[in-house]
Amino acid sequence: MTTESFAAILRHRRRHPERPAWMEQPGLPAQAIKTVVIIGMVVAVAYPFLLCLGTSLASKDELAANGGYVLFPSDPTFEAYRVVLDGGVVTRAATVSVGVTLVGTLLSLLCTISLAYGLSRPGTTAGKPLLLLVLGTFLFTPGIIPNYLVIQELGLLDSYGALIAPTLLNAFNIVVMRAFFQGIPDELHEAAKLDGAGEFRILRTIVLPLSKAVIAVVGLFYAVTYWNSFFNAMLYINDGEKLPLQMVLRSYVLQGDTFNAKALGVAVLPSSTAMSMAVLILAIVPIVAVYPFLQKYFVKGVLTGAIKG
Amino acid sequence: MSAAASTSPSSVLPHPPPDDEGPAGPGTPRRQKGRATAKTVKRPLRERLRRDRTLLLLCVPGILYFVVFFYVPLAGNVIAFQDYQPYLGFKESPMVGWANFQALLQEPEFWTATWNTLEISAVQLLLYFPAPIALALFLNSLLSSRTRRFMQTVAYLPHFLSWVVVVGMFQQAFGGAGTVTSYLNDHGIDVGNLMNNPDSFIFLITSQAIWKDAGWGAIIFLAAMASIDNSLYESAAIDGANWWRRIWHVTLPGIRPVIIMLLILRLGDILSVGFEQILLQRDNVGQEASEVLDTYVYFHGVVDGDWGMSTAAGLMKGVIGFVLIYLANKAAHRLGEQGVYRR
Amino acid sequence: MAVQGFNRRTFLGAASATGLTLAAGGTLTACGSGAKANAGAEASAKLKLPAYVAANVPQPDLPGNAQGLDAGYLRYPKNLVQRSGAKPGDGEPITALTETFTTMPPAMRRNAYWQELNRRVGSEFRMTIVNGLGEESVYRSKFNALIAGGELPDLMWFPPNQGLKNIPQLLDAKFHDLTEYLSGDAVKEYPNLANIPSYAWQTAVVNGRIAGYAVPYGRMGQVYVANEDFWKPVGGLEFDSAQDFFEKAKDLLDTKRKKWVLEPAYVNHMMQFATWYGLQNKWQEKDGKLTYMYETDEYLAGLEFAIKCQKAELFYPDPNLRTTLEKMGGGFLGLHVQSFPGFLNDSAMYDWPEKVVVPFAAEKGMQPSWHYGYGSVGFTAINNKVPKKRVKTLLKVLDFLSAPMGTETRRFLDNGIEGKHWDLSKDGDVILNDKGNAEVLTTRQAINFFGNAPQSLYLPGKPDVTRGIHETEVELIKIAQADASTGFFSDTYAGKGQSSKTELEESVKDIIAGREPLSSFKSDILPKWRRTAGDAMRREYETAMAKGKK
Repeated sequence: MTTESFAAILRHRRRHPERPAWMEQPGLPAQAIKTVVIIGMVVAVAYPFLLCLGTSLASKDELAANGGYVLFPSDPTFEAYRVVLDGGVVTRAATVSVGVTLVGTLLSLLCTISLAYGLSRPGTTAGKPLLLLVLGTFLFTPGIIPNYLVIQELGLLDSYGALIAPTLLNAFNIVVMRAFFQGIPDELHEAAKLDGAGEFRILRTIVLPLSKAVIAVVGLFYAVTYWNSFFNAMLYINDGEKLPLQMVLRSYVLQGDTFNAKALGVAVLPSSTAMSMAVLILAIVPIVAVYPFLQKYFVKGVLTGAIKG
Repeated sequence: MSAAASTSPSSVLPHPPPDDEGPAGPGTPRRQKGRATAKTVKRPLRERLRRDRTLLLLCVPGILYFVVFFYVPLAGNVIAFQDYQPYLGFKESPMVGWANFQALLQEPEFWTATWNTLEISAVQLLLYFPAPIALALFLNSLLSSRTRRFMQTVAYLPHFLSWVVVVGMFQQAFGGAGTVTSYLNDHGIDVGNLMNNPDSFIFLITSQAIWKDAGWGAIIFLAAMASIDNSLYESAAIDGANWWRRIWHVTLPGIRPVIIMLLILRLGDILSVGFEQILLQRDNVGQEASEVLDTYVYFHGVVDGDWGMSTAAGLMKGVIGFVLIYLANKAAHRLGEQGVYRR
Repeated sequence: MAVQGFNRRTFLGAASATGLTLAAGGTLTACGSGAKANAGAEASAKLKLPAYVAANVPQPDLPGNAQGLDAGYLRYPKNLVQRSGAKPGDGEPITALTETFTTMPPAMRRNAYWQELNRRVGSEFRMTIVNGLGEESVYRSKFNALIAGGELPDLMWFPPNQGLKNIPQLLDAKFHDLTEYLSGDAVKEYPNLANIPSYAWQTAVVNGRIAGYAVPYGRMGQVYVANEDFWKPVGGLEFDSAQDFFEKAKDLLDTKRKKWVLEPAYVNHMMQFATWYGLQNKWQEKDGKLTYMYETDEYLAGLEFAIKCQKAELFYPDPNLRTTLEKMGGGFLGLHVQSFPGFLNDSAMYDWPEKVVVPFAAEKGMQPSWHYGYGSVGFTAINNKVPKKRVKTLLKVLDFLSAPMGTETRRFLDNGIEGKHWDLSKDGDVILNDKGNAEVLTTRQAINFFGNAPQSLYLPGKPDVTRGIHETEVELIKIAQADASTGFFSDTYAGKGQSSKTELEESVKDIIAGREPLSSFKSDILPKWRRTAGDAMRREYETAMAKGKK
């Protein structure tokens, strides 16, 4: 093909419906680069994930024949998943994790929003020392033993509270939320004040509706933290029925493969590698699925529209 | 939204609003010139408390939380100055002054580890830090919202793999027995074992970090970009700015406060680099190339149950981080940025 | 993954799965049971260990012995000894801190096995079970947190690894001295405790006192496991010398087909090589002088041989191998180092022919060696807030938990209730059913950390495997050597033993990988080890042992 015919194609390409009127059609090189980057990214991410998935579905013999990993199992088996899911332990733990993640994220967001907003207005009395107090938590770490003693003193040992309290607030998230709040123009505050609105009402009626994107982001950060955390369970939870999913799944793959499979009541054992991969898939699918639902808050121009409307 | 309806700000988030000079057009980098409301005339404390009571009340739960769950247990860091014995407790354990710090500082290996840490941090600041921004710009440039959402999800997936898996995957591809390595070898290209080369280790772990976390890091920038007013792009385009100039003059200034804030926070964390990631690859490249501060403390304090020494290391890191954040914030103010906190 | 430090993953959980519990090698056994001020060394030496009286149980099919050879059972023993007399418990709840490496057991209210255990003991067992997911520091943290918080359970398990400091002082402050209850003939009041071998009790002696109940465990250390099929082309696993081994291994190497010979755990392999030259087990005494294995020519010889193997590319090229067993089974690897229980577990689980390579003479005239493990999994101490008169009750409960193979109690402890948790096969094997697997295995593992019987070999339905393993044990024990410092204590070991060992081994890895020259071992690495810990440990052990001789 010649350059001319490329150009012809370019000219006749259909204009993308989402392209605003003022935006020029991109040149062919730009298009090509974008396509290459997209394909590159998909391959770089999809390949390992397919390898995990394939391995989780492969039989013990096939994995041995291939030395550990299989991309496309010739005879897929769900044995590894069955082993992990049978017996109700995992379903129970999944319920715990979903509950902790939902309640925890909600509480975290409430506290984060209120603290971030409280610290976001300029000139507030004691604002700076309070902010430094928050930042300090970003830099230093209390030891495990003192943490344990606090949880114990508050009577939170072996309770769901011990799965939420230690990660309830995070300085980074507060600082991020605060920065976004500060980006909201002062004019809005002033106007609302003239209308006689108090700070609480401004937060509710102006700041929050304008901050959907950052709330989605910070909410996601918290949710992922709750979902992925197992260290607190390791320290504070003794009742097997209160253990979160990550803890249970990890205990299946980390130690004594035979033991675990047997404890789950399976006679024929899948390969430990297949089980690790099955566990990996089970552990990340639910939380990964959340993100696409949050993305609608990232759409360009939504906020501006809200203000203008 | 009645209160908001009367105004039409040129841009909403997350940079500070323009001052009296009117909306800054594209091409004029925004500078903060102090906010009118910040110039509070000193009023009596009681009156100020009264005025701010709602705001302060909003702070109460969070601050209380940090006091109970952070600052109370933080007092336990006193063991950095103790020969801590759990059976004696924090009160009875003998004080040893700076001995735990001295034990750290006098070891040459500690300084090697510190130097390695700084080197890795520097490379990562240079290469890893901008990666999520670049990725966010790219994702933001995708027009079709379906493609964009799909790509966002693809990019953020690897964040959920543990380091054990990520390192395993890299080895599966680039290790001495890896698929890519074998393929290249079969075609007469000898790349050696990329995973076992101490000289390129720093770039290896940086690329792993980018692969794993660039998509995750991009989220926050995407949120910031979502808050930029579309009309800014429109007027820029009408003024003849091409896509590159629009990124340079609209998008980047729009997310600049967030970039600078994250940069400052990262500086505070400069002495921590991927502990688990590096520990996992220690056998590949040996201790000299891979010893960082955290692994040093792990191998010389934690495995021996030396609580005092590991706490001392944590405290030092905190203090240095604090100083760096303070200085970086000062510098940001000099440059007219708002930084993490205000003057 | 059998790289050092990860061997623990299979050490208990895996072993219990096959119906037996044996000694782990490697990292676990490399650790002492804790610190002991040398002031107490003299007292330790003079202490009378609990008398050994073998339990009166049916003759096993394969005999055990006092050196650590495990008794073996081809089928589950018949004519079990029935327990007589009162229940050991006093009706009051018993609290305990213990660990598990696997799945948490079902809660007591839904766990028929646990409930039956409470009924038989006559007290409710309230266990706090720590699951550190393989990270050792978690148990240590919880242990220390409980101590700092001041609310200790009745029974507290002391793991045999480092990181618990000043154990003598801690024991003085918070736990009962069990010497008067257990020393010498006193132990005979508890027949199952008298059945625990002396090498295990040695590990429970701290500062001249019996600090706790020694949790018995097999004495088998690390073994060199091969896939027999892999070695067939060169005539199997018989080697005349190290050179013979090297040449055969080189013949088998086929990197084009992704076949390597050695799993990439340098230090583990190096230690096996060194035993072909006769490497001593840790500390050994000669004319009142102690030397450590690092300081011997044999260690250096093993190191040199490992370098030779590395240069010949016999090691798998990527150290981070997580699929060792798949590669072993698929014939992509020929040899790996495994803890003994890990080996047992693998042979029960996989079909490929696993065989232990018993150390052979590296050169003609050399005497190969093999290293015993530790012989216990630490000890269980009794909180001194427990009234004195209740100590005997708790010891009786521990005696109950130590009921040996051949008793009805052991059959219950290992397998639960007949018909509910297990059934007898027509061959006479005890086979756990699903409920047994779910309740007994998980609960039992937590219990076995603080109370267990001396080890025995029994693999349900695999009499041939059991026999083969027993034969291997016999061969290994012929050349086995124990660490001379067992039963003696050193402060330096408690404080710096683990980190100095790790540091040296990291450097050894660098040497084998070719990142550092061999000469650096003698010029830098060994002197550094001596400076940071070695010489002080030597001094402390020598003093302790000299006093012991008087």
